[in-house]
Amino acid sequence: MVAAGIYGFIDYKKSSYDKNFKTLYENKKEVAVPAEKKEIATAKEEPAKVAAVKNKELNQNSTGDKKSVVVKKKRKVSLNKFSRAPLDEKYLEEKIKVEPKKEEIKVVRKDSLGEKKEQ
Amino acid sequence: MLTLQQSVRFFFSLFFWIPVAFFSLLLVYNTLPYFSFNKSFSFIEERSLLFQNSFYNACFYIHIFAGMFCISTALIQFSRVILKKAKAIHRWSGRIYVFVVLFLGAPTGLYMSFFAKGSFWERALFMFMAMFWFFTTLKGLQMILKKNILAHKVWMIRSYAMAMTAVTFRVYHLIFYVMDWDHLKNYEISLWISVLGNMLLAEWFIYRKSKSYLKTFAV
Repeated sequence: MVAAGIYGFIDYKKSSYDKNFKTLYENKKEVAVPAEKKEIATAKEEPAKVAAVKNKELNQNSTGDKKSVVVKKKRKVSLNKFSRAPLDEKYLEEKIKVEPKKEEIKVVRKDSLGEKKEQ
Repeated sequence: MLTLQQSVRFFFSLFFWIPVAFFSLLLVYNTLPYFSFNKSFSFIEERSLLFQNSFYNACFYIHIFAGMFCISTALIQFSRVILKKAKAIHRWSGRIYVFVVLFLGAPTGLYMSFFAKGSFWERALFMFMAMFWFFTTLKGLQMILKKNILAHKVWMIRSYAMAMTAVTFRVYHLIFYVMDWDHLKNYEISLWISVLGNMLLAEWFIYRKSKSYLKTFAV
């Protein structure tokens, strides 16, 4: 027990100089937030027609876009959650995201090809 | 035939032990997948930097193995039926419990507490938990070696209360999660409530158990 305490303290002191250790439980939070903003920015940069089509699709089926749309559901309890896994939205959101439809992928590809030709 | 007092006591013991056994076994069941040694669990992903250290890695797996063992063996330890009819089971599972706590669970818990989530106070609380768990279990062992059964019971109730913080923490954590609390706030409050709540509950049980004994001191 004493050895565990001493060893733990030494290891803690060693790793406390590490910048990554200081932000160990904060890092991933910053990554998860700006996903929605990114998509809005790209939609504005695209030509008006493409943006209009995309907006229409987003309105029709908001769950379709894998990257940008994060579906917030009511928090429910399940037996799986009674474990060590952190009950944090940043981990749970990943599981909620829905797969995109095949048609949408086609539309995006055509648009991107068009853009490349124009360039 | 059971008297009214006995049947009320039986009802309340069921009311207490059924959820305790259910949540304990559920936690054990949900811990089993970790022994695939897969790193894709969100608990491990969150602490990926710590898991690069092989000693921390080993401590984690030893700690969860010890926790599983303690939680499941302790369920047998408080059974009056086993204690009366099969003392050997009580003795052997008790020996396993004491060994696992003193040599595996508490020391690894103390090491890991330095890197626990939360502020300085949550880390200090984890350290306290590990030390208190070790101390109460050691005292329980000492008392039974001295054949002092009442004191053995008292210290073992305290030890079990510490072991059960793993279970009660998750119960509070889930309740506050459903109440839409912020994750870190939820984590910290659940931790404090589970530790302090379990300690208070243990003391209340001890008081109830030793009430008649304490009366003998009354003038």
